[in-house]
Amino acid sequence: MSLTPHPDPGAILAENERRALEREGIPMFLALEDLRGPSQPAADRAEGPALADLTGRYATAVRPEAADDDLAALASVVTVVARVHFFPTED
Amino acid sequence: MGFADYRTSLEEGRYLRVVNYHNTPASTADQLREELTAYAEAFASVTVADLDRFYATGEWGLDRPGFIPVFYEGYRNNHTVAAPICDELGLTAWFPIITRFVDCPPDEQRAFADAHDIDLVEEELSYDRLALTWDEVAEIGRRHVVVPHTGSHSPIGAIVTAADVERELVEPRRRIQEVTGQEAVANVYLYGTPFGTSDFQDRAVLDAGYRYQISNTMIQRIA
Repeated sequence: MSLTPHPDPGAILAENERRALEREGIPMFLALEDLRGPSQPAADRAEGPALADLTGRYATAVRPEAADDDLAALASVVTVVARVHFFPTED
Repeated sequence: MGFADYRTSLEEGRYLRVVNYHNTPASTADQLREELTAYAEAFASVTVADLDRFYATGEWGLDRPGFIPVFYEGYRNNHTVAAPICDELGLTAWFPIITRFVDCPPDEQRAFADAHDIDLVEEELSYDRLALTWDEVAEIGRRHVVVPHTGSHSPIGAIVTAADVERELVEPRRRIQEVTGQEAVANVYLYGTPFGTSDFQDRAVLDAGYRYQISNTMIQRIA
């Protein structure tokens, strides 16, 4: 799957919301936070910067009014990122 | 952690793929096997030791990106359908279970589910049992990770007294550890509330001995 931005993230979000999620798997990317001290960056950041960029793009597209700490909105955006870009890509 | 911090985590490679499942009735077995086969080919499933290693070193030590299939609630069909497929594929799955659902007598499980936001599927409504038994929890725990999803599928806001803490956080962890012989490392609230939103419940989670909190958008190492 490509890391090229999807042209219609709103359609992906609508499709996610239509799905019978109690009977289907819900792909997600979960951030890893260390509350014991500074979080250790990963040795291999892989596609992380591209996924971060996609999260920002899709947030602007589907939840433009969301506050930074709106976790429900964040979860919705992440379901879009994960639905489109879950599998790693070679490009 | 909001949008900005979440994006920083991604930028720094601090993230993990998960797929959250709930019911896995027999009618979905072929679809589930197809999905999990694709995941097993692309990803390496993550154990508690893998997660601990990442937090200690920043390295996964895996040959493919890390991934966790998660099966929520403690449904009987997670034992009859999901766990065997994961076993076939060599996947380590994580099972957050509602411990009082497992404790519930079979003839009361449907009412318990209705009263505690536990979704049931039509094809199983006539079954004589809907939840795992503790023997099944023990069997799953031999190859997978079992953690509490609170005692009663409780949201954080419903845990306000010492009795609530004991019933929803302390006893579930103690019981799972007793049955599986494994550390129950993580707490997961209904609605996936993260650590850090309320001092009282945060203190209770730490005092109960949990090391991780799993929420809708992150896994937090808390101790």
